[in-house]
Amino acid sequence: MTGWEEMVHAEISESEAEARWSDRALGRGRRAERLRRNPSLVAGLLLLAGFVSVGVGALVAWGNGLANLPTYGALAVAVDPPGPSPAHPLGVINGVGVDVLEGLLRATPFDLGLVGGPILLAALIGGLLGTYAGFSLGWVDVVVTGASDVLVGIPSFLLIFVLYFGVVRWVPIPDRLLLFGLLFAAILWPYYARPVRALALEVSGERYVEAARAAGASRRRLVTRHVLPNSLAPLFAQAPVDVYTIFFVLTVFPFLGCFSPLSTLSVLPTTAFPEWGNLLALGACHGWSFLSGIDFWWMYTFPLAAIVAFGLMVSLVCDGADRYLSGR
Amino acid sequence: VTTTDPGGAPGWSTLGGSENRSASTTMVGATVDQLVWEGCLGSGAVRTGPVVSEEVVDVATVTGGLYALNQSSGRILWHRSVGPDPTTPDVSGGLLLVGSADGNLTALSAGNGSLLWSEGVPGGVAQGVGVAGGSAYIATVTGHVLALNLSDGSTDWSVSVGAPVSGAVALSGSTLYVATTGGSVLALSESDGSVRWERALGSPVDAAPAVYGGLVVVGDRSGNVSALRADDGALAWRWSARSLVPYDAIASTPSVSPGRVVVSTDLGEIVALNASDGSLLWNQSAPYSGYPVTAGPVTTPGLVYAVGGATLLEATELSTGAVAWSTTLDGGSASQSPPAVVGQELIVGDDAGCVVDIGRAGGPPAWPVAGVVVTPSGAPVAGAEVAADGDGTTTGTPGTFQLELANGTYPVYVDKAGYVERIFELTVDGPVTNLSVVLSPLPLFHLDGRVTDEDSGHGVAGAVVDLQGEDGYRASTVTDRQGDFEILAGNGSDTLDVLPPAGYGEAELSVTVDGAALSGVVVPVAPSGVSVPGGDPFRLDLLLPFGGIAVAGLGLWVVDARARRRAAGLPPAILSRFGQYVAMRLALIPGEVVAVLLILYTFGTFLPAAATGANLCSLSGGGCTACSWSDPACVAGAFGNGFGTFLVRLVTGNWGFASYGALYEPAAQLLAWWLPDSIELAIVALALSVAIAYPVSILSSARPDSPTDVGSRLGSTLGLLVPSFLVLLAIYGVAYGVFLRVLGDSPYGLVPSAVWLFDHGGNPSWVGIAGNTAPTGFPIVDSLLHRDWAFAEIAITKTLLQAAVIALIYVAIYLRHLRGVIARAMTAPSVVAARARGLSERTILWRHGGRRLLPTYLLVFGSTIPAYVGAQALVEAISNDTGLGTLLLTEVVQAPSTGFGFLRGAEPSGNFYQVAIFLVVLLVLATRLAADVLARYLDPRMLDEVAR
Repeated sequence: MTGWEEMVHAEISESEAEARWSDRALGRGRRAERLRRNPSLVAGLLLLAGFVSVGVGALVAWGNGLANLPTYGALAVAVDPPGPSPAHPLGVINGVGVDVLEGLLRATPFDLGLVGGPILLAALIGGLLGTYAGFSLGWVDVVVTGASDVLVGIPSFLLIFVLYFGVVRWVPIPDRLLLFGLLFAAILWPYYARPVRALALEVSGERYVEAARAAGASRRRLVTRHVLPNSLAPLFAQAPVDVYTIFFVLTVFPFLGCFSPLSTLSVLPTTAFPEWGNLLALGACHGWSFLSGIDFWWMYTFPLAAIVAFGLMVSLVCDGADRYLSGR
Repeated sequence: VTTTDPGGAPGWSTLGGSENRSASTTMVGATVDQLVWEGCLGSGAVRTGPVVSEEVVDVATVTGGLYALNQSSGRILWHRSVGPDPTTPDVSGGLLLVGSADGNLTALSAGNGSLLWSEGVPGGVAQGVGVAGGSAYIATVTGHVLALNLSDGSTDWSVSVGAPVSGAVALSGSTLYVATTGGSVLALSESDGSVRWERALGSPVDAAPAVYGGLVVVGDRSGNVSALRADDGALAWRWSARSLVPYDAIASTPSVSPGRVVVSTDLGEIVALNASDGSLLWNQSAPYSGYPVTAGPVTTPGLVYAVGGATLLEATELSTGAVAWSTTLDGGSASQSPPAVVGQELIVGDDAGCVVDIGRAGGPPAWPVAGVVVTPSGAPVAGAEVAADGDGTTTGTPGTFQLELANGTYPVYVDKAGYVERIFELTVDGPVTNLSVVLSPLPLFHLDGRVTDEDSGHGVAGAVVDLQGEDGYRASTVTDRQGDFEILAGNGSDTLDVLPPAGYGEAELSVTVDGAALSGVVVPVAPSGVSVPGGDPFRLDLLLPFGGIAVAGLGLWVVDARARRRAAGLPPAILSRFGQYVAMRLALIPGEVVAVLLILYTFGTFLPAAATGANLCSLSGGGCTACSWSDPACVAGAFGNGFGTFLVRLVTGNWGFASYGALYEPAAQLLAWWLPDSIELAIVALALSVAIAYPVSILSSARPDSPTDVGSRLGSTLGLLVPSFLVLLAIYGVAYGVFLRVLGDSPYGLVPSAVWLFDHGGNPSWVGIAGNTAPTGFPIVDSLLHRDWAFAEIAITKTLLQAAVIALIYVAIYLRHLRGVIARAMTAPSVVAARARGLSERTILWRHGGRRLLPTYLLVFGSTIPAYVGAQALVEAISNDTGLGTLLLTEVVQAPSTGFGFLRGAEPSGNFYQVAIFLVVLLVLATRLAADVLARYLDPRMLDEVAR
């Protein structure tokens, strides 16, 4: 046991822990009241609803052709590329000739899946394994602690690189995005499991758990009703950090590839794949060079805004949910 | 105003041929490299371009001699002294104008050299003079453009262009064009100097712009060729020489002719671009490679002339880039001005102070003798020498050649290495157009082999293998990454000379080829006393003192701890609780290391090999009996063998080669060179991070939801989400201009950058090829040791800039992890007690809270160290600066194309990217261990938390 799990769980005082998830006991009115006093959660949920509706809209509009972002050769001009205008509301990324708005819209379902998917999956695996490890302290604990000690020691952007390119040849091209998401979940779960395990260890020794046990609750009921709900706080602290971790990989590798002709390092199937990080990398690469004084601001500003809005949404939802569930 | 010069008297009367500096002409130029005359002036090197007008060649030497020579004989007509470092003269209407570095513009009579007037110009005159109408136009080193009255030298007008100018003014129509070292191109009105437009290029321009066909074309120190529209300065296109050679720069004027722009670069490329869109037509580098081509190229309708490679003058076909002819200048040339073309001649000055006229002068009429050299089967032979009667050439790519011969009968000599020499008689009495020469190849046989390390037996990559046959046949090749080479050898006895990369001694081997191909020749080379292939030894012994200090400290600490336990009456224990914790953590490390190695090997080497069905034996570097992937026992054995080989290579430092830009060096060597840079940067960046994170976190914890708290939370969220390379580029974008102005260097790239080196006359002697410094390897420390303040200045500034970006990124991550845990410190009993004692909130905050937080900070540091390593690696890589991060990311980015572990030839069981990642993991593990242990040493109560 090495890291910072001790600190994360330590912030939650005993009384707070007992108050968690006591929401069921509350009336509808109190729930609404708590929601009103939690503007982060409301704002975050509204943003989330926005992203989901854009994503669904894009799916309906483009269907199976969603990934085929059109590249217009005529727009890939080096001089005076089209900026925001009625024809292209958010301008065009030259070099590839991609309409920024269309790219961002088409990218929404992919990013919700590529970034949201691994985080949800990792939180699910990490939350369950961490709780069980902290509660049972058996061989599951040994496996969870050992695996996370190893995985957390390797910078995650390097680890995903090694794992992804190690197995990518086994996977047909259409399934490679799924592979990327699954591997990222496989890398990230220890970041959730470690602090959850530490908190579960402490929660398992709490008086209310002892009381439930004395009252004859089964092991299963102890875990699912008492330990698990009170050990999940670290998930909300970690999720916003992982939005950064995943976008780092999605953005930096295409960006480095933009300067190194040797690089074929992308997890995406095509150069102009609709994915916010990829669009940002392309935009920064073609739209901005301090060496030659080129600055086509719209090429990188709008993709960046999409990423920041998404990260802000996750931050707000997580902070708000944490606050809501802990009853603060 | 002169534009091009198609119709008028043949002349090359000013810098670049005409006032528009296009360095192109419709005259034929020298199509053969026949020497017409050579005259040595004996007055110092000739570094300006000669100009020719009315059959008179005017040329200036560095010591200030101005000479007028007869164009047909080279005889000196008159000479005069005009002041040091004169510019290329300008001859117009019987008047000769020349500027000099001591700040004079002198007007002489072109006929006899008599002085008409001389006018002081503050700061000195830039490379050339322009004349139009009744005025002379010059740019000055102090950043002004002046118009002087031709009749008496009085100043008509003078305007400032904002930055020093080192190239001449170009004229076209009623507009003057000037490019500055501030990186701008300006168009000025000829009549009053008012600015018509100004365009910033972002990088200094050192030579005159060329104006032709409605375009203003300039090359800059960042290697860009930019074409601006002459009427409004809009960028028509831009092309970067760095797309061919990293760090290349352009210091000469491009040559612009119909449809083509030809430029010469500092790193020895001659490049032809399409004038309409800037696309690359061809580039030619071999003979110049690595030498600056400082004189701009000159184009005629058929040929491009360039001086480069110190002594080489070469003519290249304009349409194809094939070499038409080349010759050496005895004295070498560092000329900054192009040669002059007149009629069918080319006139150029050299560093020995001689002027050479090349081409065809009068004499008996010479006929073109054109033909082709082919093999008996009819295939053209390129690169064959063809010579007759003192005229010689080399066949071009389709095997064609052209000589110029007068009437008569000559022996013609044709030869090429690897072919049987041919001499035949040829009678010339008119043009010969279809001469076909058959050249039979010498009997040659394939010879292949491997250069190996005498001790370990592994292949040595990058060794030059020279083969010399009995008949003077020579061939040369370089070993590939496995150390293998393949070469054609002549029949009989051949000698192989092997020149391995640094770290090995040369070797020589005789082989006999007996009418058949020969394979499996092994040339062992002996390592010259180093443990790392090809480089300085890895100085592990330097770590010994640190190890000694650590052991001694540990011993003292154990003795002291035991004494204290005895004094406190505690029961004797082999290890204290703290000792037990340290031992437990240390015991975990080997397991973690093996697990990481297994992951790296399985995913980096084994699975890719399995996916492509590679030979199983290749995993362990050969030497096993082949077996198939369908046999589980065999696969398991191969996995074990391969992993063993991987481990052995890892531990013995046999890490293969790593490349970065033009560098291709043993990975361990690059690591030894660049690791100190990374350590230096880490020290500065971590100090900066602490300086930011400490007060921000304490202030935000003191008042949750205060502006500081909300600001730091928002800042850390944004800091996380805005990709770090954008932060980096934004900071560089802001700092770039300041950097160039103040330090004369770009903030981007190796220290020192090519730009800086250009201005400071090359590398200090203590800086190596990879930007590595001696003796300590820490650039800042070394520059201070050598008292090289200019170098120290850029090293410190760049380190600070990079550290600032790292701190920005890392503090965001750090604060995110710190949030939540920090508030607890302010409710700790010690704080409550302090508050009860009536201490001020400020004292409580900084004395009690801060002190109590230190161990917590260490714990968070321990868990975020992978994120820190990532941030620094990225900043180093994006900055293109030396360091472990650059090495790591370059390797990682290239891994899919250079091949994963098993594909990488000489290192079938490993690849440097795996080693690099492993080293990073070791670093992370060690730092985490140190941080966790130190935190528990400072706050032993944490041991209780672990126990629970």
